[in-house]
Amino acid sequence: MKKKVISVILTAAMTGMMFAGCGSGTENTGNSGEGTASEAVGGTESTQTADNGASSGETYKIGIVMYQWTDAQGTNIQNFCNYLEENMNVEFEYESTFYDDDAQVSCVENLISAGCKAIISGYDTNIVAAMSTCADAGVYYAVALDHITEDDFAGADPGEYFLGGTKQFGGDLAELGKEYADAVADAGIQNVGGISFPEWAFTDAPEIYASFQSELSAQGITVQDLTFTPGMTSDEVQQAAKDLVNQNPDMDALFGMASGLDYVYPAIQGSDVKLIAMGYDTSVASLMDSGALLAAGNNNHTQAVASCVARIINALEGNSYPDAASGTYNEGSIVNGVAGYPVISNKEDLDNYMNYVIPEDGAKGCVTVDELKNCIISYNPDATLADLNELTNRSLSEIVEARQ
Amino acid sequence: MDNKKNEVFFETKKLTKKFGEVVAVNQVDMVIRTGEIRGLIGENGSGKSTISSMISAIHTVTDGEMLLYGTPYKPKDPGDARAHGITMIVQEMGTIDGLTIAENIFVGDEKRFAHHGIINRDEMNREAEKVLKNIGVTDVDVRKPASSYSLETRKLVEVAKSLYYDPILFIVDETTTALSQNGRKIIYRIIHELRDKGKAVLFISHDLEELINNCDVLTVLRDGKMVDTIEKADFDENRIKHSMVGREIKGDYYRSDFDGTHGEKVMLHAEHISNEVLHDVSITLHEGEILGLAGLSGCGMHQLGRALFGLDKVKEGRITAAGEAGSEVSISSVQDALNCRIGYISKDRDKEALVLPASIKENLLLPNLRKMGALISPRREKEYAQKQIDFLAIKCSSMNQAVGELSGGNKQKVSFGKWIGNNSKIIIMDSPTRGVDIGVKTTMYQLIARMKKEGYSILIISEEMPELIGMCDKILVMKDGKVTNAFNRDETLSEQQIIEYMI
Amino acid sequence: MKSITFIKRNRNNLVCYGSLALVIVLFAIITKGQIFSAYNLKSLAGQMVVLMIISIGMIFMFAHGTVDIASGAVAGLCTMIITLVLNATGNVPVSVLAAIVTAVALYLFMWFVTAYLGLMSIIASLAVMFIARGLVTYILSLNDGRINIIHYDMIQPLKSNVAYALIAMAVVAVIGILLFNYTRLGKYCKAIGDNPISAEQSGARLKLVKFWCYVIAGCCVGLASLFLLARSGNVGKNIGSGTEMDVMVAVILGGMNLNGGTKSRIGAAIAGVITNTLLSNGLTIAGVNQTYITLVKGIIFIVIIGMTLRQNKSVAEMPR
Repeated sequence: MKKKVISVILTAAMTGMMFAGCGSGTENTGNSGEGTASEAVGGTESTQTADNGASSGETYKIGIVMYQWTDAQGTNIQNFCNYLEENMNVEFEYESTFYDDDAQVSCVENLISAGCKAIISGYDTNIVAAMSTCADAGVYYAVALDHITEDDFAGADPGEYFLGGTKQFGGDLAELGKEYADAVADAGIQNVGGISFPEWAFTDAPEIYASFQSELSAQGITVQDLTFTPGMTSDEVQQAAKDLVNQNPDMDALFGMASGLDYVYPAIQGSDVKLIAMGYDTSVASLMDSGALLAAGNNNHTQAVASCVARIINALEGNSYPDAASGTYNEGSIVNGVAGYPVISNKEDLDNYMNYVIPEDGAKGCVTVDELKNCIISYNPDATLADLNELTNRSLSEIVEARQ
Repeated sequence: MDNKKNEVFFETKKLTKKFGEVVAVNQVDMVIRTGEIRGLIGENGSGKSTISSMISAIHTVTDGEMLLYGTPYKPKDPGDARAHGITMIVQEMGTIDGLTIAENIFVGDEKRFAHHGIINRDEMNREAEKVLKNIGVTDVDVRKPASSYSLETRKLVEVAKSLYYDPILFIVDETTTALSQNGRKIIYRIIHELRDKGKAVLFISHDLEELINNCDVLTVLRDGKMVDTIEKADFDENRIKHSMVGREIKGDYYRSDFDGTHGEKVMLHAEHISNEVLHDVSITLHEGEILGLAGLSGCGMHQLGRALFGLDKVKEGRITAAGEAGSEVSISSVQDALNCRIGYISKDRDKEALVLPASIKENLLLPNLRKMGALISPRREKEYAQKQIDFLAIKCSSMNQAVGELSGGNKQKVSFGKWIGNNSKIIIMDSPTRGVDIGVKTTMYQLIARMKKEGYSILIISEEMPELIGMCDKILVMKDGKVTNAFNRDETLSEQQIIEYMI
Repeated sequence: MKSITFIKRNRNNLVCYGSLALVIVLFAIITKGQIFSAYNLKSLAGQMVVLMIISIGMIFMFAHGTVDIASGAVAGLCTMIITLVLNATGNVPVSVLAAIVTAVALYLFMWFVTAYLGLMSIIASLAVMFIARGLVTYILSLNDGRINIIHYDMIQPLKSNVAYALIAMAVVAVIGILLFNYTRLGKYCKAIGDNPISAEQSGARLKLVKFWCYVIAGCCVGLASLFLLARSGNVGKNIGSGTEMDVMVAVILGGMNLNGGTKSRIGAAIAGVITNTLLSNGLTIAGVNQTYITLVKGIIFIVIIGMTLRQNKSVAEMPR
């Protein structure tokens, strides 16, 4: 009997708390939201009074979901977001989940509960489910690390709350392949192989590689056909890379398109085969010094996030670009932004990359607040999608030029 | 070591132990001298085991003190007690199944065989053999795991292990209940030898007879208090029983009648059954009959009990029981047995008969669940359990108390209750009074006698001859898997007559 | 004095609901009541439905002494079955039925291997985990790594309309509670978890009881996969992965001893899942830095486990 009594009491207490919380909760959020908003406005006004007053003065809370926050990519994005928070009327909330579609929806829901009005996702795998969650809540949703096509929605209507994806590799795969090819040609390599994740996982790989291949073949360098790994794990990639090297004793360089530094490098470590990597981490400097690495490259996450933020602020303020329907990187009715992919093939590139693409202080980075505001309609009524795409697709040299 | 006899070397002063609110031992002053076998007797829950556990540091002392040679004795743990010369054989199993006999003997003390961190097994095994030989056990391979030996052998291994440390005080806590006549004789011999060497023995047992025969002084406990200390010259069974229980025990401990008659209806019948252990065994149990099975522990009587309940498979022959509506039903599984209203009380109460962590209520209900319908109402459960608890006078704080917390006698009452409650008509009892004190034993015997009158058919499997002679209408004696003889109820029947056919 | 014995007797309940109450109060304060917003309560229901249904099924496994680690992989395979059948027939009930049949079949395979071939149950479930995960990966590789649901609009309401999740949880919980607390099956199950020999001697048919436990577990996993699919929107390689661990964490948070036996409680699944979901949800809403979030979760987990473990010691010393 007593057992029952205690469970009944507890349940009653909890329900009571829930209702009590419900009531005060809305009040609280309202109050605190206003509080932070006015503070932010104060801060904004003092520093940016020169800007036009088109901004409504509200602080926009934006959620970001990534695979993880403790890696280089996460740090880079957080640095940029901190910079935006300090200098614009935006506030960020972070969530992470590792390749789990169900958990991704939970992350989106949690961010919405936390008061986010828009969500930027690194994920694109469960776009339909995540999008429907956002649409139900009236929250905008943009994908930062991949472009989205109508096929991704499998016939469903994305709806007005979907703000599109972000085209990677500067939107020009052939150009990227050529950049990598240049890096190899300079190094006097004679025989190159290539390894990539399965085609379904990395759909852009064949096109990049084709350009890479034709560019080098034209210069008389042997380029083998692209090898696909059987799966996505480190072990599968390493095994495939080892097999490839063993079968081609003449090969003196390998284009690691499947997480080059993390997955492919361990397979050829210690051999004479040089690495050309898609990917970047802190080991790049030393590997380049030793000559084991000919080139590396990475998505420009700052540009990707900046592109999403601009589109989100426009949408939140009820604005849209006049040229939205005819964006260069659009896929049918879906608007896509763009982000560059800096290729690093020498010490100078590396220094520039570290100083301007992934600096700790966002103000020194590849997109400044002023540049970004210039692409937001409330700050600049003439802003176009083309402006935004140009801003977020600057190459390493263009960024350097802009900062100097 | 001091070999003087009759010297006070161990004392307890106002020794008290509380478990939460329960006072298990209440201000006990006891004196033990060298060169004596001190018996400790009392009903279940009277505090015997608690006292011995405090002396050997298994339990902590709540209040009062213990003195060893006049100085305060405060052992930190059993190892410390051992270092002070006090060792104990416990009621429960004290060996570890996975270890070899030798490893069991030296567990916790392997270092003595270590050379540069590596244990010399040959040396350990030789030493173990020597230790066992000291107590007269020679037919044990110390390299084999403990699990490959019988309960009895493992108990003897424990005894050997305890004696290895040359104790001044050797505590035997209800060890003999687990042993056969043979094993008991070894223990008796050992404790007498120890006494003759000027050591002391604290001997705890339920068996009054063995205490009277072996002890020099008896201390009687009741409800945690020391109520009497009796010298050998004054040993008298009735006086002891009286002080234990605090009231007069009536003369009719067993059944008082010698009327061996019973109903004619055959309730359970085994025809020429054989399996790995049994060889061409036939028995018949009638309505209202108490049938006894006597024998040594390896004679197959326990397996016969299991086979009759459908637990062990029979290779040849047939077991039948009276079904509903007078039909004959063949028994080949527990389900068949249950359908024929057969109940079975295993001899291993803690491991087989009861679910120790489960409550009294849950245990009592378990065999009756089949009959409680699809949805079982908690109210009916409670009514059912309360009825059994009242009927058997089970001492417990509530029906939700875990059975594992009960004393041995009350545990056994629960296992009886399981089958009485579910309307079984045939009950197979394997060693029903093992480890149960006199008070509860009396109740059990009265209950069994009453059940006979009510028409229950009962099969008692026991190693205790007096109990079989006292209770059964007919006793079958078994040896080597065969029934060697049968005795009908008779006032003149003696243990000797039966034992003749057991050995 | 009475109150102390009361606490001792009900320690299991106190841990179970106590940790839930603790988490609720903690986050109510930290998030200034934001976790109780209507939207968040709705989200919570959606977030816990998969775990709740599977955990309730798993209680029957844990209670009788089986630790199952295949639930996530089997749920993943079931989402694929639903998708394939739904894409082919456009009939939701039929596809769910197919998923439940698949899950039950896999669980019965485990049962057979454990009961008749005498393999340890955890090995059997490991094998099933590999089979299910392997099938998902293989079929996905034939479909460019991802299978889209043609008729997503047919199951999408399961995600967007929280009533479905609430009803499903309520129905499964009620059936679970009835089976576990008020029928022979549940009682045998607990007895088997503590002492199979005694249970058998008291009339429990071990294989049969376990058979039904595996069937229940299979049904729950199959049903839960429908909600998993509705939430995921399509079938990817990692679908359902890690669910088995979440289940264990949840029921431990609920005060369940994974060894099973008489102290098993179906409430552990219900309270534990709520606690577990609230933990992740509350920490995000509270704005805890992602860098420390796992650490914070770990600390809270250890605190709750600490409370659970202490209870088992209370029986150490008892009078004989």
